[in-house]
Amino acid sequence: MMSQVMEDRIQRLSEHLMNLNEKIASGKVLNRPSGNPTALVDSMTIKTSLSQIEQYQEGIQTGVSWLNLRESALTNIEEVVARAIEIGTQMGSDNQSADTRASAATEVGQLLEEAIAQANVELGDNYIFAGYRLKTTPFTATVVGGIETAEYHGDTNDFQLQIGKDDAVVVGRNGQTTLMDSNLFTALGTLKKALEDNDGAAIRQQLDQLKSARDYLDNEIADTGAKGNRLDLKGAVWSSLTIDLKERLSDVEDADLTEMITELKQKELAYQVAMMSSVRLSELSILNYL
Amino acid sequence: MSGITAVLNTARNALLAQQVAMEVSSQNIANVNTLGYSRQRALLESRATQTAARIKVGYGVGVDSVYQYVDEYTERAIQTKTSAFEDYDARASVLSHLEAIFNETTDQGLSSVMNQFWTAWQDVANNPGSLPERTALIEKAQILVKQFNSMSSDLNQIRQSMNTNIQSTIAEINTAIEGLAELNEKIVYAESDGTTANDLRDQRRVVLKDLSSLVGVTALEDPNGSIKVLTTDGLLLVDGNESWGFEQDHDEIYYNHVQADVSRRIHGGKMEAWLDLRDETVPQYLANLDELAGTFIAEVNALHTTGYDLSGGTGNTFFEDFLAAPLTPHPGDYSQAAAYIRLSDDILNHPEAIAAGGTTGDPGDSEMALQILALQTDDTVQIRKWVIEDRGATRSSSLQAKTMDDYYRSLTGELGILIGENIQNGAFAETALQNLDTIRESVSGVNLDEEMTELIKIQRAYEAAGKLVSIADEMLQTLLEIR
Repeated sequence: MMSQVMEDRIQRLSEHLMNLNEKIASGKVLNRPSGNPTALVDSMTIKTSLSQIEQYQEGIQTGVSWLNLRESALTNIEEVVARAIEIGTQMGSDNQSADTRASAATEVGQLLEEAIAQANVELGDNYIFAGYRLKTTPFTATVVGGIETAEYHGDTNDFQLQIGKDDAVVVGRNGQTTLMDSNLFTALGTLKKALEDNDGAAIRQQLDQLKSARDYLDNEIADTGAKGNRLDLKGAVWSSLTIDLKERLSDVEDADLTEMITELKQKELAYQVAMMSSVRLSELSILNYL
Repeated sequence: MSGITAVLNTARNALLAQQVAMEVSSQNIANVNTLGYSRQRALLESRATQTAARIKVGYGVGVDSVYQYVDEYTERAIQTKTSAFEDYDARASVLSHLEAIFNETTDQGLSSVMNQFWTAWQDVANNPGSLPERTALIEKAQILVKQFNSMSSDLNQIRQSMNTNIQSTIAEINTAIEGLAELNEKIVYAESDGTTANDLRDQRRVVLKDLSSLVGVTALEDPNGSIKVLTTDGLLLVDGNESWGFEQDHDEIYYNHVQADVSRRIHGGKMEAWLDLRDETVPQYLANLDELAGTFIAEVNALHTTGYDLSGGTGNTFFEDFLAAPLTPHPGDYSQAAAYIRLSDDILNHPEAIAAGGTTGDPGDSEMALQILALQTDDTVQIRKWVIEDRGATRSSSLQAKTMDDYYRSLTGELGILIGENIQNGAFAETALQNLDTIRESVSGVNLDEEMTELIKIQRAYEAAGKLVSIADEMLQTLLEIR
């Protein structure tokens, strides 16, 4: 009877030792669902959140690339318009000759080409000013009523990215809204025509057009900058949340090695003592005394 | 008779009685390690007295009976606890298989696979016109459906293996009850002369304990020494020297060759574990897994078919659509959905046919991809939760509104709790059983020290009786030498 009891006790101790060993070897307290079900559900929730946040961070990164390219393209176009305004102001005064106006016209022609080239900028192989039609060249030079301008082939949808739950940000406002509606291409074309026609009044008229186009572009650039800030902020929020969640995950999952090893030493000692005492006891028998 | 002859008789009786006592003690010593052995004691009684000249003098000692130290109450308690313990123990080993299927502590669990599926949709939404992201989405979706398929197949396999276990347990039960019937017959025969058949009873107790580990039984003793054995629900297994057993036919269990399923009437022991797992636990988890898979198919397809792919086409399904009722799975009944779920031919090998677009399908149109992505965090999705009880007799479901991730998490959490509970119960039953065993040993167990001391007692008594013979002999000699 005594031996049975001792056997059971020793078995139980060795089971404890095995459990501890598993935890130390894997570095995790959570080795199977039955070990700690609530902790397991916690860890699953945290892992899913971390995965979602990673998704959003990807979106933010892509968004930042879009917005950066957009900002630089729009800034370049704005400089084009500013140069055109300079030319217009200069050539608008009545003491300009037809020749100077004619050479200015060539320059304006090149400015128009430059504006169209900027508007056709690509991120990877996607045109960022084409609405949803990312693989179609959005702007082509054309002539309407004798005036050079650009034609828009994209659509009027805005490309958006998801940066949070129920939080999508438009990173690619379409070319119609951004550029065509500012009338800048037509304005440049008309200026060129006016310069070629040596028409001072028409030149001065176009200046107003160009100035309002420049203001329009300024708005677009500001909007792009603001969106960029929003993405940066959101990115920072997600980063710090990721750190918090990883810490929590570690708390839930990871084994505290110091604690585990101390417990291991204790159990080891208990095991050795149990075995020693069972050996001693089994030596006691009346047969030794008969 | 009286006088010295009487003394010789007394001495002779003493020698014989002490011999019997010695035999009984040596039987105990020899059986110190025998399982289920109850120690015996020879009951010595002083013989009847003889009246002679108004003086009553007894003439010796005799062995009245050899009785066993048995505590019937503890024995019955051990049988009951053995049933309970074996139930939990058998359940624990199968539940650990279940745990391995739903093991979310690694990164290969369904939860992690679902996360990767949604991430792949996000990548497509970030660049809808590009093919590599779409191809990656198809790969991740394949992993998802294969995971569902393999979990379903593993659960079904566990269910099938329960039937194998039931078959071998039934064979053991039949052997045990036949053994009991035999022992009953032997005991009745051996006890017909008024003595108790101690060793046969010990054997019968061992067989009864083994039977209790297989199925819950109660035993009732008849006056003639045989026992009736019934299951806890009242099926008669053994009566006297007859026994009636079980047979199995696929999912049904027949009693005494009657073709009616009695599996709902069998409780306790390993049978309880196998039957509960086969008819309640595994089907419940299977049904809930099917619900999750079916919800995936229903929700994703509902959105995907209204979306536009890269060529502007619409109406493509992402997952293979449901079957037509009454084949399952169909929109009203998601049974088998986890085994059935697979990618539709529309998009398999056709990454450009994934409907990421919501209005035109242009390379920048990510509206449908974003809508499908929103399913991940949509907590208004209606999913049914199944509860199966009474060994499959009661199936009920309740509609819950939660995200699919949440649903799966609560499923895993419940399983963890179930297994944890079972381990606790098992440990408790084991401790109780050990305590009962200790009590039994203290009553019926052989203690070598005690037996040794007993032997010394008997030996000395024998020596004394022997001395008595020689003294009586000397006295007789004296008498005979008178003439």
